Amino acid sequence: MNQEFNLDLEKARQEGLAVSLGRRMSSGELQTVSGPKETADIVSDPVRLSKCEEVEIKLPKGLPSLFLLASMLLAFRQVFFGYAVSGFPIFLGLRRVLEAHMLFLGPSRTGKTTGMANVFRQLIRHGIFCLFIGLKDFDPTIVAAGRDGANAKTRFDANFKPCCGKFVLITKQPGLPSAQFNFLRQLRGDIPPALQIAQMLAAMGFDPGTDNMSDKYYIGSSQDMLLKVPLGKSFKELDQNIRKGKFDKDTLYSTAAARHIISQQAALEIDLPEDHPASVSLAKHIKDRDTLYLDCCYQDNGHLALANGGLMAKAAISAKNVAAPGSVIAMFIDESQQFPQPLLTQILAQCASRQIRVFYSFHNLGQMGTSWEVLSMAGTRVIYGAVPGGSTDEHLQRLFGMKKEYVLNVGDSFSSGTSSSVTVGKDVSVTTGESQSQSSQYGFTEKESFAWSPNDTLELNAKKDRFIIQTPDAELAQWGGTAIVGETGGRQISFDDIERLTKEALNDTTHTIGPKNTNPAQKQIPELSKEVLTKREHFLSILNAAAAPRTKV
Amino acid sequence: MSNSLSQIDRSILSFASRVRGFRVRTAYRHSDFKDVGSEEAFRKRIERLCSDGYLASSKLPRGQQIYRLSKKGVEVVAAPPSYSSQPSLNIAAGMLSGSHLALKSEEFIFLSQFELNELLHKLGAGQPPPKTTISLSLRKIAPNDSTGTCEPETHLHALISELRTADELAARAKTVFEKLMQTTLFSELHKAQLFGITICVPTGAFKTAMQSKNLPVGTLVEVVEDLQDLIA
Repeated sequence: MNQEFNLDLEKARQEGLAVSLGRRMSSGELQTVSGPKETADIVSDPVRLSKCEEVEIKLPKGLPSLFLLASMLLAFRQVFFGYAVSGFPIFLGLRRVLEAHMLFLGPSRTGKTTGMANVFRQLIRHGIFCLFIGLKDFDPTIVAAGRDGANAKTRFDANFKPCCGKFVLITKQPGLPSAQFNFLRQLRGDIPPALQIAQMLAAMGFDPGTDNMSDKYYIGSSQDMLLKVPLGKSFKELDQNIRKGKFDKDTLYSTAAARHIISQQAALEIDLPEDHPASVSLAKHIKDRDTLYLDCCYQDNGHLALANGGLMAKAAISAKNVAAPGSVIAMFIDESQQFPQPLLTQILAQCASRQIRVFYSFHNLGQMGTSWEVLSMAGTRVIYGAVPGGSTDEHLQRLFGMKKEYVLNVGDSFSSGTSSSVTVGKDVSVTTGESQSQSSQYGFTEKESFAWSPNDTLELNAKKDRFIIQTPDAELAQWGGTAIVGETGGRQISFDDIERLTKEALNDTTHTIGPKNTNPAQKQIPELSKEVLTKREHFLSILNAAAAPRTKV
Repeated sequence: MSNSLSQIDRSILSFASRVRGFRVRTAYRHSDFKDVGSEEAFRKRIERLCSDGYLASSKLPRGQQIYRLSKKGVEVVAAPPSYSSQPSLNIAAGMLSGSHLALKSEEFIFLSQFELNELLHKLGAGQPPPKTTISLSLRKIAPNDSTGTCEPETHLHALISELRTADELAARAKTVFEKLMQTTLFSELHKAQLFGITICVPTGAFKTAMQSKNLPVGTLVEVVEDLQDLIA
């Protein structure tokens, strides 16, 4: 187990990184930070970095400070994960993070979601479009990370002015205010209906690529039925169109499952006008690099939550190709074991070339079933714990590789013997003899064993802020092919801040509506005429002047 | 203002003239009072202003004190004389909501009566400011995305903070809206999408209930948990 990880400054410098330990490299303005939150904040804040020349990161465990040139951090943007056991920070280059998928593994309550939230928050601050699909329940940690990241003025707008992003909360938890996502409104006109229907069915858990012939029959029949009815602009409309359609008994039988899910989606959906502030337009959000959190709330919505998560993922992939074909977007899927597995396998295997990076979590490798090799095909793995003797425990052993052991052999032997004989004949002879022998030897036997031992797994489970990270060599992360042990070093968002930010998000009604708002049309805002626009500019200048900060009375 | 008052004392009186009344615990968190020391020191300062006759206090139904300007205080900061009267329950609700929302100083800007009149005068292109009994404040709103900028816009908001049921509050918002729309200035501001209503409610559940009501365009609902102190 490589616990003695230190920053390989030489290799980092070879990659063009200006980094120094304990010594400043410039005489310009210095920003000093310490602790996990401040460290994560500074490396993900291009606005602040552009105003200083050098950054000093104070390290724990009595280590000297790490100095990095701000220009280098701007050119090679970083994501902070925690500290190695030795106290050195664990940074992954943003390019590396966005180069391949990232897998988070660990049993319940080991910190997977918090770890994902930390990466989520930093990617938002870097100005990446992030979509977080939470399948379990409304999670304040995610809301706080998303809102905090979006609120931070760490991005530049078109005029090179610092600006913040927008956080959109979509929750299926009854009783909470939410923005509204309508899958059918996101559909693109340039894709043939047959493909759109196939995508929709796949998102709802019907695997068109199944080998099972009876499944093929039911899915094919559902696809055929949907081709015969207008899809409309909402599930409510689609449901009504299906109900109006005249189908024979066989079709009704074979499409019962699909019709049931569509009708349930229709019941859950609130159909808002397209220009309503609470109506989600994925293409627009992706273009504006906003942040979306979809809480599917499995506890309340059961399997409908899974279909909802699948539909959102499919719609985001489709919208991304139109809105930002050249940019990378990040999709986080928490509790992926609940996600429609054929769809997840397809996304992981095929979305890499489309510049969609998936950050997903599982409890263990066993949940991935027979597709585990595809589903665990991630560039970076972060592991928070493992059930001893389980599949993840075994995987951990392989992540750390082998080590040579020299087992000491010690031998010590002692023997003694006595003999006596009496011969009676013509003569009598009596013979006695005594012998003793002693030997000692020692030596070493060379043997290979796993660097990660079962005791290490127990220690990983016992220490709550400990995790394992494995990623290919790059930039500041030069630790070879094997994984390293890390520690979070504390929370990046405190519990008080989580509570405050969640309250703020729930109380921010600008882009949400209450769950029972059945009269959304009244919120439609009419277009302004030229005359009103001129007046508006005049009013706005007076109001803005009145709101300008005043000197104290 | 009186010369015997310190800078912080004058800030406190000015704050009271903007939000009409406040509780010590709430006002202490305001950014204007960052340098006043501990909450206890701040409370003593308020009590001294009371004993000096600049502030007066009233008891809320749950027992906490709410402070407002006294007659002397009203004269010092040139606030409306009605600010010194014993508040009714709905006025106390307005005080609690105003002082609570004022903590979000980047979003809510409360003006004194003089500043408000001056603003309405400017907006009305020199016309005398319309007379209204509704509390008005400025509120920064993130603009519609069509503008393509992240800088918030300043809107004029009517503040409704009354202890009523959700249906009654929705009806009250409609009445207030219709009444204000009879005035040319507010009607023009509304047409320019620069006017709105902020309704303060005591709980998140109440807010959810309010959002299912048919509210006028531009109405936003804010949770002010302090309002629960008005229920004995």
